[in-house]
Amino acid sequence: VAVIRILIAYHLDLVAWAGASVKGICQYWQMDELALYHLELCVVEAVTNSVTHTQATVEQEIEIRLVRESNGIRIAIWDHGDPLPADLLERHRLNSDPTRESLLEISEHGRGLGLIQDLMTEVEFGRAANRNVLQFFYRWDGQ
Amino acid sequence: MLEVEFNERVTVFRFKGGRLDAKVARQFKDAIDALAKDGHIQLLFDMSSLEFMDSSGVGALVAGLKSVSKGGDLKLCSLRPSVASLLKLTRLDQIFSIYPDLEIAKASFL
Repeated sequence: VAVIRILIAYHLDLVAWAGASVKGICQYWQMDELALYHLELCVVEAVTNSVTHTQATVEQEIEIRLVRESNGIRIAIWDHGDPLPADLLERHRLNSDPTRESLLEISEHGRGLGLIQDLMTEVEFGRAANRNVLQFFYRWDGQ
Repeated sequence: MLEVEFNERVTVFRFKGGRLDAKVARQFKDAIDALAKDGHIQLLFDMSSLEFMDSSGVGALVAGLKSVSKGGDLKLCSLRPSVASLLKLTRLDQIFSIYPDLEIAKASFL
């Protein structure tokens, strides 16, 4: 399987580039604008989490692997963060129902993983070779 | 960071930059907070130039709404479909007043 690898340093300035890189590659497959935005958004959310939650050394890099499968796009994001709980995905679902009356209780953070789970067809989280890996698949039957 | 237009009933602001993400969310939030502290609590965010927003941007909008919640409002207008879809996904379209264009949004403050 052909894999495209993108390596970036742990820095917030580079998160936008990671998202734009994935979007640029996916544009080649002529995906529609909303699908491109959703893929870019999920990459940005995942890489932002990697940057903000990892105490990385200057030599370490976040690795993004992108694979075009026959029925969609698979993206895996590897980082050097500490091990995370197995129920990480379950804990971060978008299940709140905000109202104006509850405004002061509405969180200003923590929606990234929930968005990824809502937007992607499959999402998995795991750990291998001392790295965390968040993998997601987006079903897309275009050319 | 913000281009601000002071009107009689509403303060309209635009974001100078196409991306509202984790890199700039804190500054954006502080800029809205500064407007509120100066007494500008009827705010309208013209989002027409915003090409990309992530969950950090959404969080900054929530913080902005909280800043003006005592007697004021933060309304949104001219959202691109992608940005509108993000607010819908997070169900935060339920707490913001959202208008299709600037003139209709301005009129809502009358």
